[in-house]
Amino acid sequence: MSAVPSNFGPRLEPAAASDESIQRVHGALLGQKPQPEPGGYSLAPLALLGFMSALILFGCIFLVHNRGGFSPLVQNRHVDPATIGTEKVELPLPDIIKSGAKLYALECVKCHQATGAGAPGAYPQLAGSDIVTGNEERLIRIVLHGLKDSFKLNGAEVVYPNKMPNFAPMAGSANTFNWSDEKIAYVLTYIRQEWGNQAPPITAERVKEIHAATADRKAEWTFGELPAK
Amino acid sequence: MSAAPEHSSARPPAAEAAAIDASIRVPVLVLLGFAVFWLLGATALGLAAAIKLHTPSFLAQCEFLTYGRVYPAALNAFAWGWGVNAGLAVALWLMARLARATLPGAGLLTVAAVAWNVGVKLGVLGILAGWSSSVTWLEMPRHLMPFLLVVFTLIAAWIVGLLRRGASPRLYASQWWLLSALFWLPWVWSAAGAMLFLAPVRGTVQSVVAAWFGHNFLALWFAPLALAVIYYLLPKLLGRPIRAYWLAPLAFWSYAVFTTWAGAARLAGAPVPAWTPAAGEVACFILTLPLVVIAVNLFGPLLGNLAALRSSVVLRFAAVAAFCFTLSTLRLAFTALPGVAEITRLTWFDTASDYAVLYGEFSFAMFAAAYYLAPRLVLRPWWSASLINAHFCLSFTGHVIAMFALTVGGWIQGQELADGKIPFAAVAAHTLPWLQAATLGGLLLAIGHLAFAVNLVKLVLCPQHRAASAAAPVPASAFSAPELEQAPAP
Repeated sequence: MSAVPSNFGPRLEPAAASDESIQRVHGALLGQKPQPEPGGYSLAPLALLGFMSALILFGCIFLVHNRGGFSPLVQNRHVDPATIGTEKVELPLPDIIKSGAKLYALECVKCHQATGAGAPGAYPQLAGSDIVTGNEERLIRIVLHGLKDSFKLNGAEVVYPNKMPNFAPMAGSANTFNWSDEKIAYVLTYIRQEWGNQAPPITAERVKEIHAATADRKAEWTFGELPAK
Repeated sequence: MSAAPEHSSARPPAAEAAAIDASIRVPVLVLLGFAVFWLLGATALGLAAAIKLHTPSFLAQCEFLTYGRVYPAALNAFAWGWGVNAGLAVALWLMARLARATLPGAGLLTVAAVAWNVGVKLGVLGILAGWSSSVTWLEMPRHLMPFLLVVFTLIAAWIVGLLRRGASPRLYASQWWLLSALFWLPWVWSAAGAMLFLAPVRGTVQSVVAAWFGHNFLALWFAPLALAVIYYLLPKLLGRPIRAYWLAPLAFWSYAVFTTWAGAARLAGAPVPAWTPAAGEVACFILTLPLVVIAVNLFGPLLGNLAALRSSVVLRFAAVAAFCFTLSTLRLAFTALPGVAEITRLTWFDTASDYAVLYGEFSFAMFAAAYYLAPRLVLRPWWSASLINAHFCLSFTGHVIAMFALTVGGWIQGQELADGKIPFAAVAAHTLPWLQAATLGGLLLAIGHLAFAVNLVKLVLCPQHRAASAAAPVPASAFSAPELEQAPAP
């Protein structure tokens, strides 16, 4: 390597290699892999191969952990797409009570009144009623398919002139409430915790389960058909 | 030296290089002149935008100088004005030199260069007038895009065409990077334009396309050009070949395959399918493979000749560019690590990562090339050595200050944004000192760019300098180059 004499400093920096020789030397170097000693091996290609393999391995593991099932719908990589739609979406209790109150004000209030006291001789009370705070299944079945004839309220045999209508769809019934199991669960939870009533909430699953078991019911219940306390 | 030199022409290398330089003189100088014009313009606009970030009342009276216009105008002036002009100038010069071809139709190419700059000027003025689109790097009014694309493609095709005329039977690494950059930019640019403006894709896919372009504009134009320059200048100035050159194709191909994917990593946390950013992050990790090879290639000859850095400013510029390439690729891989993007996304940290490519990597390489090539084109030495040294010191210090401020400030900003107890206004207030430090860095860059511009104008146009050089002409030996010696096989 011979330095070109130059006194220009940074104003004109000398070249240390011609373009043609850069091409020629590197053209020769391109085919020159390091030659191992006889019986030995050269470290550089092995180390590079190891690094490459490690990158690919790590990349694959990383992708598997963060792929979100390659689903177009999964945007949060920390979510397992297999669990989507299977987890329970429960409203918090105050929201359930609020929804139940709205439903109550929409239909139930017409007979049982805003105070839950009903109308003496015409409609039974809900406030302080052992049917409301008592057996879950009995209460659910009454709202699902209705109730007719006499029944036992707070230990006394009573009879009212009007039937309790069915709120679930029922063959042969003219009622068109068609409430979902969720709606029934919400309104029942509301009346079990309002006007001084204190009974545990009723879940939509429980309503669904009982609805499924009584799906072929074609008329209102009589009190004797219902589970007792 | 084992093989005899292969001169296909009868001319000795120095005469051949002189003939090539003479044929490309006008277009390269025109492109370089425009590049420096845009560099100064972008610096002024960028400085105004930087000041507005901590002093919002600055220039707030004019509608066209509000932050929302000045900032994209600065970015676009820098990218399409400085970035493409300087890139094309260097590509034209490098390709002519390495292919050993004289340029036909220099006049036509000069006209094309002027047309390009008219287009960019209309674009930047359009942004200031409020007609910008909302896509990063493509803010220029969309109707200009077909014109700019056609002009760019014609210039690029002209440069690629030099290969056919060249006497060199081989392709050197610099040419791989140049050739592919000249193909890659029209590709990513037209694809993004078609999918965002011409026939916009729907919904989420737009943000995927925008992120893909945002990354690949940097990774497939700016980075390859910087690498082409560094691969050329190191053997050229050091007289040492690239270390482990047989690995260079591996670096090129692995970079080409994986960097196009890496753009998706910008979407971490965005409302896109989770696998998209995850695939991009894997690509970011794998990009450390070309990084390792390129680092061995480039730092091999450099580390063996550290003393040369003291005497050569061009080498110092090139070494900083190589170092910044290393750093910005590592930043990419670091940001892709789990949990890191959650802090750095949408902070100044990310902005600094882009600046590392645009300035530290690309601009330093362009400065190196300009300082090396310009005196060879006009056959005169630069006007002032102290301005060159001042430019390096100012650009280096300014870049380090700005990078440090935005990186550390951005990291703190990200951590505070993730903390729900700190109000947003307080987070913004805490970034102020860092942004002021970044403005200080920008100010140093601006002074450095002025030194560069003054020196270039004096070199090319100043009559006194011209007369002085004519009175005491540079000896031809200063332009000649010895043969590169082949290092013994490792």
